[in-house]
Amino acid sequence: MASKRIQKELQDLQRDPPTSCSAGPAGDDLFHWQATIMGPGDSPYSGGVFFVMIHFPPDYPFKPPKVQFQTKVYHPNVNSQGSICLDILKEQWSPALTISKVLLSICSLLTDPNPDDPLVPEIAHIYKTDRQRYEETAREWTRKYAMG
Amino acid sequence: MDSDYAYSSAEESYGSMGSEDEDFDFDSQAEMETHATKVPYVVYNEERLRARQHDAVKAVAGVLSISEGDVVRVLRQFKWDANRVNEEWFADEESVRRRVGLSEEVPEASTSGKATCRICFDEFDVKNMRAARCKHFFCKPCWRGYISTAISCGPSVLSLRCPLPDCSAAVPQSVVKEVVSEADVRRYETYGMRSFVEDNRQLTWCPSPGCEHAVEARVEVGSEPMDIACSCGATFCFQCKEEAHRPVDCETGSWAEHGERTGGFYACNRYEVAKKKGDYDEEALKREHAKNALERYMHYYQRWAENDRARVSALKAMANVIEQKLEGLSELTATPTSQLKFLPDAWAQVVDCRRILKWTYAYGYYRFGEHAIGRNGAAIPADTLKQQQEFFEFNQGQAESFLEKLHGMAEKQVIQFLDGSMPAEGWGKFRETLIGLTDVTRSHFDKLVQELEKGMDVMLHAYGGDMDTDDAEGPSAPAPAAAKKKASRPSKKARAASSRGASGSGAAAAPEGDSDGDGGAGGWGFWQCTACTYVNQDPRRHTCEVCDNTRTSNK
Repeated sequence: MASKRIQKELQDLQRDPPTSCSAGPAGDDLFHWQATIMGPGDSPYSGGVFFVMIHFPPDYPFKPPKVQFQTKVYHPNVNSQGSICLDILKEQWSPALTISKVLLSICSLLTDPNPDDPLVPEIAHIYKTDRQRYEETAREWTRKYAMG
Repeated sequence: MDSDYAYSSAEESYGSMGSEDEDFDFDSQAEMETHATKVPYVVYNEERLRARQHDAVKAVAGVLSISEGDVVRVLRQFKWDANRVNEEWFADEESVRRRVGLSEEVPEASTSGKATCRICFDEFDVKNMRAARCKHFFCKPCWRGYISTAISCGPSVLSLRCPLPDCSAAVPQSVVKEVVSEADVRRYETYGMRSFVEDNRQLTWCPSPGCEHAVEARVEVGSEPMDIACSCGATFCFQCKEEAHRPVDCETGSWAEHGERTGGFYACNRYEVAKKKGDYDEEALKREHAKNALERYMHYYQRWAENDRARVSALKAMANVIEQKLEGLSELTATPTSQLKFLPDAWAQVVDCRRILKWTYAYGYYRFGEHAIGRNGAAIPADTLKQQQEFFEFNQGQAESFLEKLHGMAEKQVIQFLDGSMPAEGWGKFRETLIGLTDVTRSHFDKLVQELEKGMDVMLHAYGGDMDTDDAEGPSAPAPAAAKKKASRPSKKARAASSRGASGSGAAAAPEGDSDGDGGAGGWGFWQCTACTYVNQDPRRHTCEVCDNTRTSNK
């Protein structure tokens, strides 16, 4: 079931690739993918290319995939390990969601952080109190880690 | 307010005539009160619990005219409170439906055509697909994966919604039962049962390890403690799930925590708070105060612990009687063991009384402390407090003597029968008296607990020790009579003396014509004992048949 469904998702992604993202198996293992996300133009991450690691559990799609940033990101909902705090990757997961929808959600999380449910409270605090400083730091990290 | 309601509804369901406004009056209504407090709860085993749940669902399904599966959803949304369900449903059916995901009509399974399952992206005949309460069809294998994953995640599966992220339609029980394995259906049903007990204010599991019984309160559950005796033998409080602890409230129920386990008075946070406030600045005051407080605490704690020990040993003795003595007695008295049930009953009562008595010491410790606060929240004046304490201790002593008597009878006299020092002919009389005594002791303790919960001031006021309120406000009619009764009640010492005098001689020497002032039953020669409320049949007796209390005039 799981591999069949993953195969279908892969075909879909190849036939109709979403803008600003791409994804596919990292090697021979169909359950281990790598994806890239382009930093959204209207965010301080603009111009960066972010690598994301995806692990499918054996009971996918009934359990959510594990998704992690490999590139360092300065963001209230992404910690230094690359873990992402996103509801659809946890309790709001639904088997009707796909990797392409997950990647799109991560894109919109980059544009609109959720400081009220932060993974890194310090960044969330700066985001709320000193937006300019947040944007500068995020831009700097993007330049440093996500370009070239 | 809450507690009044609780008792009144208990009385209604059990056909008693007592009213919740009745005050602490041993004489008039003790008989009825015992019935009222007898079974305000029901213990269910698994099978009976299932039946109970089914009845509850069926009753609401009839009113709402929707399927039982849908009713379960609605009931769970409102914590199994049928009254609230009815209210909300008939106020705004659409909103209730929306909240539990029953908005749309049941989808019609079109028998022809194909559709793509939005989980596995394969095509299927629609007739082989299922949908929740919406029009989103998925294939059966995907439903199975979806539902069994949710079942393994816990009870939240009970409110499972359509797999589409933006659809909130409920997944009907019929789909669950159709697609998943039998083992998963059983787990699903177990969750349903747990929800019925755990989300329901009126129900709770027995907290005893390994016991799977559930208890339903048959009175409106408020915040006051309720002692429950499960059929597994455990006793616990419905509210806090700790050991049964009436008449003290649930917070006080854990008072042992405040004592020895937290390191005694000095290590306790109450002391810290008082220290910060400056209460302990002066060294002398500090020593004196601490010593008194400690002594006071020890006084109550020791008695609490003694009663606890006595309770445990009574439990053991009860088991011993059931295991070893019953057969011997059955032979000796030529009665089947089933007829000897009164003996374990008496022991069970002893155990119960020990527990209640134990908690009256916790009650006393908090109630008559330095900063005692009345029910209206104001501090109680010292002399009032002293008066209340005396009255409380009098009642405690009274209860204790009842218990001692019952205990002695159930233990010593039985041994006397067994070793032959009492003639077997006396057995019938012994049986009758012990049954009576068990009954009277139970009603006395029940009453005591109820009254202590109502509060000392109410209790004392009604009993005649009126001291701070005007009579017009209180129950004016019974008060003067009750005052008289209290005055004529013999002191403990006098009582003991009279009981010695009366023992053995019985009522034979009682003169005729002493039948004045026999309470309500005067005309018939019956008279009710003012101490234990037993209605004595023999008008010539001077002392109560059960408790040996001297008969007093009511006029």
